[in-house]
Amino acid sequence: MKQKVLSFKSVRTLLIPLFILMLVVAGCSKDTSSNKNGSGSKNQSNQGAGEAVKGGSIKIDQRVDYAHLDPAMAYDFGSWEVVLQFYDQLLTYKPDSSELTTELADSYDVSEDGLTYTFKLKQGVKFWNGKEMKAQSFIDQFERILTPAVGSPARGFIDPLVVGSTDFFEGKADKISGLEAPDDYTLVIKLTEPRGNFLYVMGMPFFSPIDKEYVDSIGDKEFDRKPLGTGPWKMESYDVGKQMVLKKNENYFKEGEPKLDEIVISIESNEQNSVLKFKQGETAFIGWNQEINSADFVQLQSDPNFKDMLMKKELASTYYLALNNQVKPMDNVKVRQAINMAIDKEKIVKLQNGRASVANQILPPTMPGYQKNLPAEVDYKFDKEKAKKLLAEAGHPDGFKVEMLSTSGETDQKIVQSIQADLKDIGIDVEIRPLSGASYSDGARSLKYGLVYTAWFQDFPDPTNFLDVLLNGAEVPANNWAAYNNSSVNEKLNKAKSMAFGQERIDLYVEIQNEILAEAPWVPLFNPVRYAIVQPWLKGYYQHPVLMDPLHDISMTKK
Amino acid sequence: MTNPNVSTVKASAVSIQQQVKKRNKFSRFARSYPLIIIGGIMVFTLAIMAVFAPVIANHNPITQYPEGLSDIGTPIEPNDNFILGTDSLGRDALSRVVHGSIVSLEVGIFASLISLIIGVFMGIVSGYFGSWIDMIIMRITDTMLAFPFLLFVIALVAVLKPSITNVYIAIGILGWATMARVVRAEVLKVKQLEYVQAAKALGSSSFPILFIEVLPNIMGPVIVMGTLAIGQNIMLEAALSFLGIGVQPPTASWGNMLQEGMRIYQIAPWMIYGPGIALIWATLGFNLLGDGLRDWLDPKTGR
Amino acid sequence: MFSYLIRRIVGAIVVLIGISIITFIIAYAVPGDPARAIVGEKASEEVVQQVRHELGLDQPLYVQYFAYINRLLHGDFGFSYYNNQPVLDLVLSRLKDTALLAFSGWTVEILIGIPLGILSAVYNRKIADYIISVLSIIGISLPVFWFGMWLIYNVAFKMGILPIGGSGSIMHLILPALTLGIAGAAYYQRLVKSSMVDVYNQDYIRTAKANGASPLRITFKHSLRNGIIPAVTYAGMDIAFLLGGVVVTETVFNYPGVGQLAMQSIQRLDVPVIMATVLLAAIIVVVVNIIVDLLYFLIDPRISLT
Repeated sequence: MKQKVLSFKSVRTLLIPLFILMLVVAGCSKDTSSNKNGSGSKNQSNQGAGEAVKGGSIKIDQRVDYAHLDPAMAYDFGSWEVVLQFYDQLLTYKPDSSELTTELADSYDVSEDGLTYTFKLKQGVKFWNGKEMKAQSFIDQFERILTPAVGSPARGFIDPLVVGSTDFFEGKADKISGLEAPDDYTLVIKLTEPRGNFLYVMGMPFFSPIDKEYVDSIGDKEFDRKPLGTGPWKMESYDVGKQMVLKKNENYFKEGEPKLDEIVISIESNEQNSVLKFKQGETAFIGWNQEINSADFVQLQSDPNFKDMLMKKELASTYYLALNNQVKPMDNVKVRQAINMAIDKEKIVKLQNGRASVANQILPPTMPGYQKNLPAEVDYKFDKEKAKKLLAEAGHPDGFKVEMLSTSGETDQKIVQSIQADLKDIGIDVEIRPLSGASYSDGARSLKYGLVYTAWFQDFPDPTNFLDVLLNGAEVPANNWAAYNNSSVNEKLNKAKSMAFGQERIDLYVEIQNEILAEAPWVPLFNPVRYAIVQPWLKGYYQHPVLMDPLHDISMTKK
Repeated sequence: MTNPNVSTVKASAVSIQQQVKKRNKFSRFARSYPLIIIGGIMVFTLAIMAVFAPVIANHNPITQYPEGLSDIGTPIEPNDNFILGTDSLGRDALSRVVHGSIVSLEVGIFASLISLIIGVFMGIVSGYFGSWIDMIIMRITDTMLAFPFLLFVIALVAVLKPSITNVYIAIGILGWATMARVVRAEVLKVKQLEYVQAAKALGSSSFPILFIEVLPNIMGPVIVMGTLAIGQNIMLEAALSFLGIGVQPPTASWGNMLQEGMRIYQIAPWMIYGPGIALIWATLGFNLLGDGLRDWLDPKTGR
Repeated sequence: MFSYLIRRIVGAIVVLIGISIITFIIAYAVPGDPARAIVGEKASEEVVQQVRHELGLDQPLYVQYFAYINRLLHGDFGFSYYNNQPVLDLVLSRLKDTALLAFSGWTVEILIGIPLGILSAVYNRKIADYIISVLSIIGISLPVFWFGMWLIYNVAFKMGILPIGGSGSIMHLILPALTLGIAGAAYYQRLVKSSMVDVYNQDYIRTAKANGASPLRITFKHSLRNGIIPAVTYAGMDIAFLLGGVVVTETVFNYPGVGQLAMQSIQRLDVPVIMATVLLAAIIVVVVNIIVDLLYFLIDPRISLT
């Protein structure tokens, strides 16, 4: 998952080939080990001291305005924070766990050949307007996702996987032949080929039931601002760019949820202000997906009143500099290695006040295939002299000029300026181009920048999620922003993903990673650590490994 | 051997007398126009700072010093080595402030020249020829003056890349309008002067009259406006860099230093004061000088 | 009066056309292909051509311009690239807050500028005048964003008596309004002073003085009214200044107005939103100027309307 402080995982996935998804299930079922342990010992240590009280209203901040509220469109951390509250899915994750469980589905059945999924739906689940959710509500959403005018980034997850999806998308059919509703509470989905991860796909917010009549009555664009779902929180009001108020859905089908009555979310793009509001006790928490300003973090960490309220989460993620392998002079491996050696990663970690650990490889530490002791020949240690020498050997003793695309967050800007200074030392002049949102990912996909500062967040703990998505030649330019295309690597990647799980497969991934590292298509920079800060009177907050902040689960204690 | 001595003594006596005379004249001038002197000194120090920046600054303004960051990656407060402290990347704030004067003066002076040249030309043409030419030019200036400057630059940046060039382009497009208006008004006055009328009557063609007779007569207000414009443009450059759409990193500019200071003032308040005071010094200097020059060269239009 | 009004409005229409031409040129000078941006990179060339055709991008420039004007007249400013919302709605919803901020800033200008102007005129060339003049030139030289930061650091952060930023209450408005208004206050002070001093030197005031009218009476009866008239005209120019100033002020104080929207839209390369912001701001400036001109006429009918 691509995520940047202010930005989008966005449209990326539209283009993720389905073979990757096949491995989601396998990966995710083991997910508990990687992500949960990462959530740190401090998780929940300080909160929930008192008895929970019923109801109540809290305030929280949101850094950027919501890009989308239509579940078919939303695909960034910010939007998911609320979209997951407005809408339910067939399946979801258990609290504070990456294990799947049923939500709107009462039960489900997968045919022996893995081609037919039958979901029995819960009865009596109602939309906010009182209408009942039925199997057709899902089919309607599938159809929206496959409607070109809607422009959903989720199409790649079901087209061409679901029978008849392509015909529907191209307008050759007015129904998706692979979707059936034999009765109101049964949904049958037929696939063209087995796909182990399909249940995980059905757990994504894209595939939420919607009330088609409502959507049609206000139109798709309006629906993006006026949600109507089955979820625990209703949108009471939304003042674009300023404030959103969530009200408890009294008729929510899950007993006892949500626990609070009201949540007021302010769009507070000023990080300092956000921290101040928290310190004054105005807001209940600052979620891990919001950035805490460096100066504030340092102060919070050394403040005895607040340091115990911090919660730590090591993300299975790698921040890296993608070197465009197809443009001169980055097409020369020596130049790429020189850049690898020129960057002081310790300093980058320091600039983040230690909220990261240095990365020397593609896979993050929790990922199978990660090597504690990387072979010396692919472990590029910080050495500016050697970098200069390599650059001279490559025919650029005086360096060159290059443009670097980056995101625009405060920390990001510090980091890219540090990289800029490091590269300047070996003669490379970097011009920084900070962008955000879709203009950033579009820029990266245009492959016109020599360097792209970016990051990848795991969708599931399997090396395919990094190596295949980010470095397979077939992923240029969708996700492979380094434009790295090595036929031997491609072949091995394709072979590995069809292999049975086990050591042999992991060994192959180790081999692949080292082969890639030898060509230095990236500079792996660091693996991030994120902090949330939570008031002691808030009960039930956890940093979920897959989902966003658990707004439906939190409650207040007597203060 | 005596002669030369005598002559030197004489010569120095004369020069002392001249100096005294000059000093009297100067002190009288200084007393009548104190703003010119104060503003002039401020601008002069700024120019010295810019010209001798590499000598004055004791560090490289773009080097990120390892000792410029604390163990937890925060800026270092002012000390013997880093006199104004460091910024959040470990760069020396003093050196950046000193080097920032280069960008400020550059943009201030050249941008003002652009608007001055276009503005004076349009103003003279408009005022001198009158009728439909005047009408067209004045409607154009109305149009330009309707755009809030910063928003206009933002629009330019949206389609071009953020860089200091946009400042020049925007000032080239918008900045001349006020200038043209003032010049036009002056030209209308000068036009009525006898010798201009005479030159016209004698059949001189328009362009010589414009530039030989009219231009020198409006130099006073033009110089005043130009001086004030430098101050304004320095402020604009700083504002744009502050917003991140002017001078790009790592080049030091007071605006982008303040932008950074804005994010770390809780732990590094010195980042607000160094560049801030430099910026106020510069704008105040040019404003004082401009006001003073107005009192001197153009007393009627003054306060 | 009537013919003046007509001339004034015709002039304003010409200016509005000029504004639309300039924004049109900037918007269509966008490097790259708007059609390609809309359909995405994977779309085939045929699709791009079709969209180009639908958008009229294959038409000659003047045809495109008239289509653009036609859309604007129908209130169609397009959709935001960022969140797909109608641009006009986005900008208008923010414009309310910006108007509030700009009005508060203007209030600060008037409340500080005019009394100080009167004071320095009454005590012309006395100590009070010099002090005010020094303050005034410092006010003009004070960078808006620096002054804002200084207020945030000292008043909001250290003293903690006012919010650091955001919007929603009068308290939230105080610091931004002060920041926005301080330079303008200095301009008003200068204007009021110079025009009042001019009036003092006029014959009828001298006569009044000679007849033993008290200075206070002279100030309020004669010169104040005449002194304030130029200040009213300045309000027309001031609106452009204020709308430019809000960009910086809103950024510093994180105030959710059009300036902040424009800044956010830059990094999102959300061209439709930025263009609409600039266009609407310019239109507002033109309209306010007409209104001010008319007010000017109402206040002082003697003024010749040429």
